[in-house]
Amino acid sequence: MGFRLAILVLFFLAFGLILRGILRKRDSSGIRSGYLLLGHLFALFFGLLLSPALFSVIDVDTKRGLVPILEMSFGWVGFLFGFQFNITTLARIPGSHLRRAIAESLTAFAVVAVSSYFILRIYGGMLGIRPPDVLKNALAFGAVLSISSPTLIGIIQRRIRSRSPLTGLLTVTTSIDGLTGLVTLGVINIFWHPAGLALYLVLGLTLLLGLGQAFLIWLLLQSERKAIPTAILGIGVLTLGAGMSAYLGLAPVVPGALAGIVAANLAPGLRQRLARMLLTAESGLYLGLIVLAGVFLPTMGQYSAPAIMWVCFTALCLRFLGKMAGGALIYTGEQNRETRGRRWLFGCSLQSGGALLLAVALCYSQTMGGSEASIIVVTALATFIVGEILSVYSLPRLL
Amino acid sequence: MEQGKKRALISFIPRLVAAGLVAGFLLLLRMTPDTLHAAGSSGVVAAISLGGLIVMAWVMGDIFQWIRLPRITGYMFTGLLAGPHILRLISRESVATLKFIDNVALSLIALHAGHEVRLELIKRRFKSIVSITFFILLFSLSGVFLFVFFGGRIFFPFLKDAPGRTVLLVALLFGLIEVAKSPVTTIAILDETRARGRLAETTLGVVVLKDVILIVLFGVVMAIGVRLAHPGEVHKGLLGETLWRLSGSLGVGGLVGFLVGGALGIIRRKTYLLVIGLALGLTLLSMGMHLEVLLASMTAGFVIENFTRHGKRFLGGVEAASPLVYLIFFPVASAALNLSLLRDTWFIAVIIIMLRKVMVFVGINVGSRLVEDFPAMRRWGWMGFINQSGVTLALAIIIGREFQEFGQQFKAIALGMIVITDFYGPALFKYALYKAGDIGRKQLEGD
Repeated sequence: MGFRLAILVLFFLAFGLILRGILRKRDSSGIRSGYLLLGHLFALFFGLLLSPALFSVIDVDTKRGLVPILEMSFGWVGFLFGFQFNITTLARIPGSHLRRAIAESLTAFAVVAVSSYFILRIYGGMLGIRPPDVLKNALAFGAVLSISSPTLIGIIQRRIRSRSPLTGLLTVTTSIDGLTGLVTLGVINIFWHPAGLALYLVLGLTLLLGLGQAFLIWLLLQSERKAIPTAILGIGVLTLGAGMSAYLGLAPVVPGALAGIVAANLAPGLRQRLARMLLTAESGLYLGLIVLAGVFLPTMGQYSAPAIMWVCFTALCLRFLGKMAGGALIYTGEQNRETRGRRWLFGCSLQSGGALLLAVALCYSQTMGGSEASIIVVTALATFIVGEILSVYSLPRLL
Repeated sequence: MEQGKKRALISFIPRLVAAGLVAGFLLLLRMTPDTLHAAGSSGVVAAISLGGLIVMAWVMGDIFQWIRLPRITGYMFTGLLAGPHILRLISRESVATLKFIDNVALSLIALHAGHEVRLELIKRRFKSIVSITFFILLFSLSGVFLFVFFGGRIFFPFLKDAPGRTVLLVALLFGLIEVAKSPVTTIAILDETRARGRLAETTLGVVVLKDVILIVLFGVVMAIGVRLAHPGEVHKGLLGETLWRLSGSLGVGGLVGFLVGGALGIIRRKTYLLVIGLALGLTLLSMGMHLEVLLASMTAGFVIENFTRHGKRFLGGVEAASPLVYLIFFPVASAALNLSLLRDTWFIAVIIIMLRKVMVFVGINVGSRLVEDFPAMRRWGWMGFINQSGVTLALAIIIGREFQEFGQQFKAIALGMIVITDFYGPALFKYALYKAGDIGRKQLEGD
């Protein structure tokens, strides 16, 4: 079985690379975006092929051996996300952008979380979700499904060489979305810690781990000028921090983000080196986490296929509605003549959740465990696929 | 002290503090009460260990570089110190969990090793490589074999009352593993020093060729050995298994090398991702198809360099990933070594090491004189064939598993030899490269 699947994997790799080569030769933004989508989806399917839950190309022991890499990715994604919150840069954001972004984020979160709450109250029993756990799961759905990714916006904007003023607005919006998701995840962790730790202890540990990682990075890198040692030591610290977070029952991406926020406000020289390090590793990390999300797909044996499909469909509808409602709010403040009549493109452009969405879902599953957490992971994967397609279609038209 | 060095030392203090803090974290982890943490999986603890090892090993590498020793020696020292047998900052379970990542790192290093073996190098140094390989094999194998065969009952307590065929078998196996030399540390030192020259080329060529021959010989000896050890039993397929391991590794490695070479024509940026994916794929394939990951990866690297047009681009990807790969591989591999084994085996391990050194020296001298090779090879070449980790470790583990009556004692002595040679082997090789003119003083001093 392993041999056949190894051949299958090789075949897919070769096919994907050839297709990629063909697409690269066409000189149009639509084709280039299509290629990008193909690359991300291919990475996910590759991970799913490897997963013990599906085709078992790798076994459970090997999957356990990949956990350190998964933790490394969590720490890195969190750090990368937090790093964009530099105070000087934030102060330059127009107030109108910030207000519209917060409005969008809260709207999307509210639509998803509140709807999930009521749906789970009624139908949660079918999925084995007990009434005391409904609020936790509704918040988890809200956290995961309200996240949007700035990465895809940046990638597409660079590929089509767009100078649209909307890029800044969309980037701020996705940042606030991510912040909403992470804060919600942190809140879930505090109130529903798996080992039942006190609130103040969980909060204290989260802060300690975040600040500790930032302090270690500062100690190790303050006099380092070269790119490779910077990257290596950064990886070491973030892996250590993410592992310690997971060990203490915390979602690794939250302390990682805290560390990133602190690091973003350190001395300019160090900040620039860290920024270069993050930029260099961004695409590798992004693809790596997508593959790992497929590999770490949880087993869903206790649920029937129709139940899983129903959950995914409902979640996708909620996310779509939430983002469209949020996008409509952004559009309301938009004065640019070029964007009139394209209200729906705002909502669609925010559908991509990227690595952060996958990381938050996987962190939740790792921390909370249980069958309902696995539903959230599957939902996140479905959201990722659909979101990428919608965003890749709409972003070139909007920007 | 010069001003520059003083400033460098002062700026190094925060790193030392950071490494100390990390060690402290790992120590605290051992003492964390069960109530404070969630039901952690071994994977999560392994992640903590990996992160801690990366930071501590890098700082230790800086210290070793400061005292003019190779960085990888510092990495190995960190793994040994922090491992389950000394400070116990890293647990046994973590080391076992990190084995897969370690194998992927090994595959990547082997890709690099294979990539460095260029056809023009083989043509240039063909006679020298073949001659030296032959005579090293001849002298090392026969020298150690004769020593163990005739002195085994005196020096090895577990052979005191053993039957003649067991002594013969142990002698054969010791002779064989003494031939082994790790291409991993060779390429790591060549990479660190950026060595270019005849000694570097010849050593790498001999090491790679020896490994291929060793795998075949090992299979044959194991097939004979199992029959010697268990004469009444039926043994199927050991030789066939060996032939499959060899031919399959070469075939799969070659095929994958061609495929990836083609892919490099399309992928022009971030080739390190392709390289990491290749190492991962080769590791999985080797596990699934019972191949030799080292050989398959070396073959893939060799094919990409010599039979495709994108060797340089591939090298760029490999070099981008190499520093992190060494930092993962060497500490983890060393953490698995049990220093306490040396307590009972150090004496016999030292004797065999000394004997091996003499045999290698003789073999190189005979081999290189026969082809009128450059004098530095005769004088300093033996220093490139000291440490044995990697292949020897793998063979010792197999022997320990297959032969109940002496396997564990054999493995203990073999691992003891690895522990000893791992620490001065890389430094001696670096020195040999300097004396042969393949590196300058600055590279010797680690600048």
